[in-house]
Amino acid sequence: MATPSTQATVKLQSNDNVVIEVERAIAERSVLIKNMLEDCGEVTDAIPISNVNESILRKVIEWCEHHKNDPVAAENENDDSRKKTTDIDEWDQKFMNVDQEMLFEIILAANFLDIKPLLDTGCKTVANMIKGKSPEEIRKLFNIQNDFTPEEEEQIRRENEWAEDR
Amino acid sequence: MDTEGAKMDRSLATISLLALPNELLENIFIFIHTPKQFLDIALVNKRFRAIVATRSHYFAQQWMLMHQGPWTGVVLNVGKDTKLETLIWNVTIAFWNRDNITGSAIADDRHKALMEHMGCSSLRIKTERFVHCFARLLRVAPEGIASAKDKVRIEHAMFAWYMMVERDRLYSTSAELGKFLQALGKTPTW
Repeated sequence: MATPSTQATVKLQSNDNVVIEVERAIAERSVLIKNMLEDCGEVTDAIPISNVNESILRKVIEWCEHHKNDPVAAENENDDSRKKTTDIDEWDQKFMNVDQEMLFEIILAANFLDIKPLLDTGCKTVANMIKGKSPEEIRKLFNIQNDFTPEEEEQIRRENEWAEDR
Repeated sequence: MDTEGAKMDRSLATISLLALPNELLENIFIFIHTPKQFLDIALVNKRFRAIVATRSHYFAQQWMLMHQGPWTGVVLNVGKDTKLETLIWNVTIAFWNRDNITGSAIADDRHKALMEHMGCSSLRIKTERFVHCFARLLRVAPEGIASAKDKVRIEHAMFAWYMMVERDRLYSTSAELGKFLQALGKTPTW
């Protein structure tokens, strides 16, 4: 087992080869990086973040900096409990006020780096965009093609009729 | 290049919602708490429909939570191995033990208030909804649960509760519930 490290900063390398130095405590908001550092002890080389480009990595680091003092959720925390609310705090709302492409890149990066609170914030943002919209409006918003035939669509509507408010 | 290929090239040029793996789309959809909206998502495209189907257990829970009632605690504890019989029994008992549908809410116009509380205009619709919800909670197709016998049993539970409230809780134990149902010509099967 590696000796616990006391290094103050770590270097992260984006997939477009930009190295960003960041406080270890901030980088460790990522469970992936935290585990890696715990396994390896002192790391002097830049850690390659192979799935994330520079702009997204900087954005993720910005989020981690803002949330560096947040309590870390327990490993065994019930998954359902964090899914009860779709409220997003004001700072996170502004942070997520980006174009769709960046929003989805952030979600992918949060998933890759294993930063659950950021992943949840991204997913809630998309869910809030979906809420209150009809299937057609959702398709339009996300540029999705309708691949149902009218007959298939009608069948699904019939299947789901029981849940309609009456 | 054919039209389909051209479309795919364009969609790959930027990251879109469709570029997310199913696991992440599921993660988004579980923040949708309105059953109607959940079903609307199923109508967006075939891929979304398939994802919604995999989360139907969660969806059924949400539906029942939305229409909060005595079943709330019961449905949250339904696991993969729960049997239909146990589920119906527990829901019935939950109905039986319910004590917060009292007072002015039902005193003025009991029937209307009760139906409003149940979130629908008739007991039959409520039973249909429960058939669908039970099926999803138990992770089986509605057809798998909606045999005439099962429907009758679910209806017994609904009806027992309905009558119990209407009759000011004259029947206060599960044994009495059995007698009550028998008196109505309905044989309890649990």
